Formats: sequence, C-alpha cells, structure tokens
Amino acid sequence: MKEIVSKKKVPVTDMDYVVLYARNLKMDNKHFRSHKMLIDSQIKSSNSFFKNMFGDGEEFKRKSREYLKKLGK
Amino acid sequence: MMNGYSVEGDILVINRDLNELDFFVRDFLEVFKKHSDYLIVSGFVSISTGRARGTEDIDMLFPLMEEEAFMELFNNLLDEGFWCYQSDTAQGAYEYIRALSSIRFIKKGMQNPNMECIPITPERKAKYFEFNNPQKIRIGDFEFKIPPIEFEILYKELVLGSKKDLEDAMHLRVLFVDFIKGERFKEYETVIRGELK
Repeated sequence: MKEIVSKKKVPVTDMDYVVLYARNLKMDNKHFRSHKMLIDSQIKSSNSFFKNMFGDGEEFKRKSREYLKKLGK
Repeated sequence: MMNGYSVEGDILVINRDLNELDFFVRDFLEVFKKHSDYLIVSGFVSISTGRARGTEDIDMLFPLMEEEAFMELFNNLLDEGFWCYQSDTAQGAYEYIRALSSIRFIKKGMQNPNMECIPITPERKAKYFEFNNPQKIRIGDFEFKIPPIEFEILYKELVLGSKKDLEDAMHLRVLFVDFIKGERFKEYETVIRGELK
C-alpha cells in the first residue's frame, strides 16, 4: 500500500486524486477545512434541490413518500 | 501541523471539527441508542473520516427488535423531531422491520439527509459479525461505532464494488495504512465470502 501511495506523482484519474487526498489528509488535518465546506455545502444544496422537487412540510412528506415507493424503497 | 487522525486506546480519533452531517447523525443516535445497539456502516464511515463526497443517506444496522420496544423507539424519535418515510405510525413502520426491510428517518423541516435503519438477524452472518466487532471512532465530542476498518474496506471491494465504493475503500486503505492490520483481511474475507455463497 505504501508503494501505491508514493509511486504516482501526478494524479490523472479520480482514483489518483482519492489517493493523493487521503495521503495528504493523513499527514495534515488542515485539509478537513475544505472537507467541512464541501459537506455543509452539499447538505444545503441537497435540501434546496429536494425542496424544489417535492416542496416543504407535509407536501414534502407526501411527495417524497410517493417518489420512494416508485423506487421501491 | 496535526495528523488527520490519532489513536487513543481502542478509539480512532479524527482530528477535525463537526459538520452538518455529523450533527444530524449525532442527534439521531442520541435518541436511538437509548433503545437499541447500532452500527454505522458504508458511506458515512468513509465520509466521516474525510472522504470528500456527498451522500443522501446514512446506513445503520440494528438488531431486529420486538414490536413493543420498537414502538417506544419510534415514538421517542417522533418526539425528538424526526419522521419516518415509511409510516407515521409505529405499527405501520414495524411491518417493514418485521419483514427485515429498512426504514428511513429524516429531521422535520429538512429534506436531506436521511437515516436508513437496517434490521439484522444472526442469519445475516457478515452483517452480524461486523455488528459484534465494532470499532469506536470519535470526532470532537461525538463518539460512535463503525465496523472494523479492514472489514469495511473488504465489504466495499468484494460486495458493493461500484466506482464510488472502490474509491471509498481506497480512501480508507491509504488514510489508515498505519492502523489497519494485514492479518485481519484474511479472517474478514472468509466471513464476507461466506455470506456471498
């Protein structure tokens, strides 16, 4: 594993970036700042997306249930 | 400069601040664990340890409960501001649990994320194994239980196998390269492959 991590210098694929990011995160927790921004932002935008899709309150409950049933969940 | 994680006794400590996803899971578990044991699995394991991707749901295993105990749990969750996608009543939701189907809870006033609660029995050998061999993890003052890291990696690689899952597994392999124990992979692979048969 240590070899996989250190051999590649220039990331090309998505997996390369996963490796690079995890390697840097292991050594330095400052990278969690951007992680927090991404997660918080994703929750905010997801809420907004689903609100636009299914509405709010009871309307959201009803429409999202119908949607999940269609997906078989 | 501080490392991304440290180890305190048998607890993995992730050296970061809590985010909105953590708050949701923490609030849910504060209620849930008064009524039942649990294990957080899959995407949140990778995301809580730094994987930079979003998620709509957090997967959680719990042992199949009797209806009466489930009703207390369900009503407590409602009182604490959660609602269930599958039903507004404990009896309705328990029909899913009895059939070993998962149910989802979401916080009132929010559209996302949701907590997917998956009932398990001893017949689900791999899931029961990870449930009974938890790894403690802590972020700030939020401590919770996840599968052994080696088990989570193998499950993603051998069972789930999507691009996202393989990236999650690689994230865990690289981040925890000094923590994971090689000999555990062989033991856990036997357990996981046993369930695939």
